[in-house]
Amino acid sequence: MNAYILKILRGFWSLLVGMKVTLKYFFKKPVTVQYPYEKREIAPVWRGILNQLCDAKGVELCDGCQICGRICPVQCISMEVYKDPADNKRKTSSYIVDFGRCMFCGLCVEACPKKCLVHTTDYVLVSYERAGMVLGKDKLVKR
Amino acid sequence: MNISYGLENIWTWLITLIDRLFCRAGLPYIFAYTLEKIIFGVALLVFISISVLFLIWLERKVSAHMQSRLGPMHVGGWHGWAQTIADMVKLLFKEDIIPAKADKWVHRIAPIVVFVPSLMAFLVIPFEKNLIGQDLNAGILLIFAFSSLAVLAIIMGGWASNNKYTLLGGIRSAAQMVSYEIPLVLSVLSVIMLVGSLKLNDIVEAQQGWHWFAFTQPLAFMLYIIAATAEVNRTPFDLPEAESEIVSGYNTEYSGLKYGFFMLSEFTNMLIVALVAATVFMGGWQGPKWLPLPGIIWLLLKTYLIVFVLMWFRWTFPRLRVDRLMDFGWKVLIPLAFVNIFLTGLFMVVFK
Repeated sequence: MNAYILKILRGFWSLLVGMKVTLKYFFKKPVTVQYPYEKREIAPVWRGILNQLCDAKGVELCDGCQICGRICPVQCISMEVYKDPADNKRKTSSYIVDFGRCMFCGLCVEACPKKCLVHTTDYVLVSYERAGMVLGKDKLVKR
Repeated sequence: MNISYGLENIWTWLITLIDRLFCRAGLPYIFAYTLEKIIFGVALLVFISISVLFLIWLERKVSAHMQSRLGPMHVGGWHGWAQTIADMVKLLFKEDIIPAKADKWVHRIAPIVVFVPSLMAFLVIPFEKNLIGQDLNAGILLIFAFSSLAVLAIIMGGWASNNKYTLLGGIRSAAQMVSYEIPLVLSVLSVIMLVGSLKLNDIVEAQQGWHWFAFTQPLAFMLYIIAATAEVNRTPFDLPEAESEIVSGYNTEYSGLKYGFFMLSEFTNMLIVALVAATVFMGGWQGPKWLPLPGIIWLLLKTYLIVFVLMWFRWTFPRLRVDRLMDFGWKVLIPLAFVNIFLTGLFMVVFK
């Protein structure tokens, strides 16, 4: 008889403990972030879409050394290089990154000798066709 | 304490108006009476459907916040208040499927049968002293009689679908509801012993001031809440519709509006159980004297408090196993209910 009553009381107590936990969570702030309206803060080391930096005058820093294209494990970076007769320097006439193939490993950024290739925190890459994922100089160069 | 204003006054005024109009027209009183009851019934239906829409939204919100989520946030603007309306419209447009080898007639009629008892129980609940469908002198008995009828419709739906899961759900529901009906009635019996009447208005008036039966009969109140949770098939006693075991139980094969009716009756049953708890144990339409609000608002506040507790149960406790359920019902709830009745009787003999 004693064991029976003790069992009931113990069970009742455990129910109360459980209810306390749910009530505590009921009044806590939900962890959900409502994505399109509010976005989570992104760490500055986030490996997002690549950007090419320019100097203060708005001239591209990239000298077309092609190291980024060669080190890329999935060969998603391609560029065309020419020699500018005005200042006798190597420059890129086109710089194309296929983000459909890119796996954001960050090797190109690490390898860039001029430190002009950087990751941004931008991660929205949506397109109706594959060609939309291939971004050229107009999108990548940040002036 | 007689707070007589608010909806009650409007209702009595309307009744007198209809009576006088029919008397002037020379028609017998039975017509006026019928019209009054029809008006009351329609108002009740509107109240039930709006309440159920709100309750489903509330259920989703409460469950979400207890799990650190947000729940519906988009439809309608403010915290997704129109989500259930959108869901209902979706249900209305869904195809109505009857399984090929189902018992078609029973399959069709089960959703109607399931809703009738839940509607009938509203007949005797006093929203205010005179705002009541029919103040029967066997009010509480009628509520329990009708709420035990709901199991019939569940078995009908489960059997007619010709599906082993639905049949299992129906059988489980029968076993559970029959065994939990007893502690439910026994727990209210001690209150009836103290009041000496089955009339719900008498029970409410016996709790004047703060003499709620929830305070003077705490064990009966707890037993009632537990048995009521089982009676309306909610977690932790939701064996008839255990999603993870038997898909969705008795309503697996239902779609569209018929499924909507099962859902409606489920939430209506929860509302009835909460209304009865508020009426019998928490003073019904009576509120504190210093805050003169209409009685219906007090009743609904208490009702929604109980509803919140039921939702709280649902999102806290895991489902019981079938044998444990029976064990708990017959070995714990019923003996405790008998002990409570015995103590109440002893108290009455000694102190009265």
